[in-house]
This record gives sequence, structure tokens and C-alpha cells, in this order.
Amino acid sequence: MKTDMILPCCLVLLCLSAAGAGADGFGFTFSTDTFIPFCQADTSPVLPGLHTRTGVSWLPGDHLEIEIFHIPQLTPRFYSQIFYGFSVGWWLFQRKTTSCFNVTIDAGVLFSSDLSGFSHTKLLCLQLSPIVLGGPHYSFSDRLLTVGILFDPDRQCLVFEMQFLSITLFL
Amino acid sequence: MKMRFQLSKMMIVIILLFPAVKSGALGTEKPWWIGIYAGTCGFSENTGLPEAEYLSAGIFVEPLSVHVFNPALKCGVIFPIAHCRKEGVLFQFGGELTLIDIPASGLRDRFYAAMCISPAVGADYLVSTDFQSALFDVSISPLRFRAGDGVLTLCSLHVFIIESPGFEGWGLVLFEAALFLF
Repeated sequence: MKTDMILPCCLVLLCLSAAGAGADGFGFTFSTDTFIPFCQADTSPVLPGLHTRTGVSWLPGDHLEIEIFHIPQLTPRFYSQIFYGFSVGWWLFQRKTTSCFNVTIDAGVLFSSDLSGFSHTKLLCLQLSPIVLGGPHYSFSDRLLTVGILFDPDRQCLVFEMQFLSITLFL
Repeated sequence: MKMRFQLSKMMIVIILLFPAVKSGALGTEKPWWIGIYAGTCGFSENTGLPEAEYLSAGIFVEPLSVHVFNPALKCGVIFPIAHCRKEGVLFQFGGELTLIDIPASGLRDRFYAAMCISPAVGADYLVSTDFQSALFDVSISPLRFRAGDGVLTLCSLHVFIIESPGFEGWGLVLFEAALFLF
């Protein structure tokens, strides 16, 4: 199997498993994504420009969240660099039918791709969302001011990540 | 001592009476007309602006508060984050026309207030901080939502225009939140 087929297959499997679970806690995510590298521009794994993050997430149980996403570069060159990734998150407080506020911690891996295919860039990611409003019981949740750290082990480069707003629409 | 106790009781009764006052008694509600906005945006490489993600922030005025062809004026600043360079800092002067407010009853359960889909068109002048160069763009914002005291814009497309050859590049406001204050 080609490497670039793995993530689409994972996406299909996640959709099927969510459908099998009655689409409970299954949602689509959209967020802004800002990257500030702490290394020289020529060694930075992230090209400068505007990025967004879209994906699908599944929230089995009371705390867990699994997400598959992609992060394309939108400007200055549309889709000239894409990151694919998956993350596992933990909602700090139990997701109850009446709970509206939460805090989440996510850990994940990102793989980079450009127009010529996978560039073998791998980033490890750790995120904190201090303000999570809503949840699957409200069919909607938004995260404000999510901060994260990405680490490129090959280039030994740290990248600061910030998502001003992240919206999840649950089925 | 007894006098003070009586006063305290009277204060408690007065405070408890406040929720009973109907909102109409507080006076006619004035429509929102001035607020602040902030968002993230980016520009294509042929605009000549430095490659970066940009933040925009400023104030806006919406003097008429009508539901059809509602005009607004805004001014603010756009600056690059990550690879921040001085030549990327721009003053923004613009106008926006909300075409119509369409009530989105289907989104009622998903947001905190009744929501309207409010598509808009607009135009902006982006001027460098030394006032030596300027860019002009027209914009279209089909995914624009108004709820209560907020306006949320997603994926607004800006097309930069010059006299010749006409098209100079494009920009994208990925997300912009506007909040009325007064």
C-alpha cells in the first residue's frame, strides 16, 4: 500500500466505525491554525502563510477524543503544503449531558506532504485547549485560544502553534 | 442598632424587587452600531506582500442597523505574525454592505442566540505605514453569520485590483469575529 493511501483509508475506517456506533459523538472540525517556528526560516518544517485545519473527530466514552485531520496551506500558494495527522485527546472533565465547559489535552502526529508527494517530515504535537464550550450533547462545540507545541525530531526544530477558534459540528 | 437592621431588611426587599422590573421599563433598546473586529488572513504571492499569516484588528461602525443593504465602515491594521516584517504592516480602510439578513432557524439549536446568514460584499484600501503604496480589493463574504452582538465571517475572498492589467492577486480572510460594544 502506498504511504499516501494510509490516511484516507484511516479516514474511511473512522467514518465507518462512527456510523456503526450510531454516529454518537461524531463530528466535523474546522479551525484556524497559526504556526510560529523557533528556528531559521530555511529549516522550518512549516512554510510561512495562512493555514487551516479540517478533519473528523469521534468522541467515544466520557473523556476520549480521536481526530483525523489535514492542514493545508491556503496562502501564498494554495495547497502547496499539506499536513495530515491524527490526534488523541482527553477531555479533563466528564462529558455530561448538562456540562458546557471543558478543558482538553491532545497529543498527535503530523506528516507533511507537498506537491511532489510526502516529504518525510514528521512532527510530534502536544496541544492544550483551555476553553472548550459546548459538546456532543449540544451538537456543537468551540475551542478558544488553543495553544500547542510541535517538534520536528529530524530538524530539531520547535514550532509554536495557536488556534484562535476551532469549531466542531456533531452529527 | 434596631434602625440599622430595619434598613438592611428594606435594602434586601428593594434588591429582590429588581428582577420584577420589566425590561421595557428600562427604556427603549438602542440598536448596536459600533464595535471591534479581529481575524486571520493571508495573501497570494502576486500581491507582493511578505509570505506570512496576517492578523487584522480594528473598529467598525454600522450606523443604520437595517436588515437589507446594511452598510458598515471599518478601519484597522493588518500585520504579519510568524516571519513578522515591517513592510507587511498595513492600515486598513474599508466598507462593507450586508446584502440581507436571512434567519437561519436550522442553526437555532447550535448557537447561543438566534442566528442570521448575512452575506456581504465590500471593498478595502490597504495602505503601507509610510503611505507610499496602497492596494485596493473588493471582497465577497458568503459565509457570514450574525448572532446577537456578534458577526462571524468564514472564508471571505478578496480580489486585488489595479488599473492595468486589472487583477493583481487575491487574499483570504479565513476567520473574522466582530463584536458590537455600543
